[in-house]
Amino acid sequence: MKDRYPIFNQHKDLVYLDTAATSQTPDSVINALQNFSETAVGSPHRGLHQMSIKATEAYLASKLKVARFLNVPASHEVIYVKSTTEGMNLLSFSLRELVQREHNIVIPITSHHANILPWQRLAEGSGMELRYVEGDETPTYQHAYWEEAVDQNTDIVSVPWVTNGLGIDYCVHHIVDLAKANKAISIIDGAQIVAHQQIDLTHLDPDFFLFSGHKMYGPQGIGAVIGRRQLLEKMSPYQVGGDMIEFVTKKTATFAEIPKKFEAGTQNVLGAVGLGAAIDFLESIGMDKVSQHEAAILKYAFERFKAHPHITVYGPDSLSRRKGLIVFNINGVHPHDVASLLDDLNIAIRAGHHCCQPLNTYFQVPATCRISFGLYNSKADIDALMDGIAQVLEVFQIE
Amino acid sequence: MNRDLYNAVVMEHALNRKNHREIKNPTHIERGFNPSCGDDLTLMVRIADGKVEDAGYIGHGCAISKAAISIMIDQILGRSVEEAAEIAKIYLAMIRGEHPGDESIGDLVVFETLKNMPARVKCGTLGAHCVKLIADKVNQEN
Ligand SMILES: Cc1ncc(COP(=O)(O)O)c(C=O)c1O
Repeated sequence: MKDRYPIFNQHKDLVYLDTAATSQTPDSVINALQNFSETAVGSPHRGLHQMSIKATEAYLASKLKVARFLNVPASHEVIYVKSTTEGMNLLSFSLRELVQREHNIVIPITSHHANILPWQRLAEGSGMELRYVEGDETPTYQHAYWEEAVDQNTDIVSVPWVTNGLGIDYCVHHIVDLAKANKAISIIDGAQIVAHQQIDLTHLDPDFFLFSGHKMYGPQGIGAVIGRRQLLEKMSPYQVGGDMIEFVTKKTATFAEIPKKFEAGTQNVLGAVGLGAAIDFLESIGMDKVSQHEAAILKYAFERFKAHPHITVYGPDSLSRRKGLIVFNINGVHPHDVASLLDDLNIAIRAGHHCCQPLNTYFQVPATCRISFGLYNSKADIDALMDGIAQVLEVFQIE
Repeated sequence: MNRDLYNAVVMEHALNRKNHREIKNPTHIERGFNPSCGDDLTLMVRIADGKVEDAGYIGHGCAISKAAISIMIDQILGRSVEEAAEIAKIYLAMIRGEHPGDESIGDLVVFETLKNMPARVKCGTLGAHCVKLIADKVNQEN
């Protein structure tokens, strides 16, 4: 697979273990971006000329790919945004008229800041309670913890399908069902799942599903909010300006239909084209193969780590609840030192708080290392990492 | 190479707890925090007659942040507050690439390569910022 990613021609020895932050770009996506830039640049939805029409077609074709790839039900609409972060900000702003004072919002402690700060702001502005589910970091899913947090007064349940700070795979269908039973709006942060397994949103039927293109082999700057039309209709637009209007007078405006109501201004057509190409790329491999490939590397790395006397692995002590990444520490060595020393060996890992400070506080570990996997990784990368870790231990005089 | 920074002098200070201790009757305490990685070091000094009589640090951080604050402590011990402030100033200028490292800052010159390691500058300058803030406070008091 490495040969499909031109970055590895430039950096022959690169061992890239930071796909959870951003993935590398395959040749077909790069080609699609270049091809579009050379043949079809125009403002979508606006002009009457050929270039504008081509851009509009490319934009809509990309959305159809997303809808097919995730099996988006007819009840839902695909809205393009910059990223998962922007999508969460959109939701927390535009849902504010659909929630009630003194009701609550439920998120897990393992959430990315993108699934925390927007809700903090909504809670503060609307007099709601922000509740954290804690304790469900065990080898099996603990529905009881969720049942304890979600009640009749829960208006929103927002959960990462896979947490970037631990690699836990939440059983989101249970959580969506629980939200439904309590008439709460269910939101799934799909950032760490889309590139890793087949997703069927018709089957799962959450109210909202969000993801970012740059974590699934697409370009940075494009992502999506997939939302239930019934709710989107009741929500006010997040940004206002061009393209999202119906009629504008000096003092008033009426808004366009969904999804345009939520897509103000000139959209990122190039990003949409790249995202579409990334979906084509994943589909050409097959999501089952993608999952198998990553599961094999995860298992290999997890077992090597667990057997290592100087490595502490965080999160569930079982593979069945893990996906795509491992968060760990080398005992006695700060993660930044680990990352800097591995960088000398062209091994790229993430070190720090991974945008999950409440989780770090909860575990009382200020910082950790994280490795995460993509299609270009192989067991040889894990072997290189283990050799690198041996060198780190040497520098720190740990035997 | 990043590894060059993890040399004998730095590792000696990072692993050795000589200056990693609470001091008695500190007159000034300054906490330095690096939110991106969780380095959290507190510099404690006792100033008497305008001189740094004792200094130590507590907290946790990476090897670079700990070694830098520890070597900084060695450099400022026994010096006047003005001299300590000057050392911190030269050190910070060195890391910005504006001043060559020289003997005026002693072993702190080992951190000169930080000017080429933007990702680690915050680690290496935590202690120097604490010294600067304490010196500013002392000046305000006077
Ligand atoms: C679980 C999760 N949610 C949200 C985000 C935010 O994604 P983005 O930075 O693309 O908005 C990330 C990525 O860091 C993530 O891992």
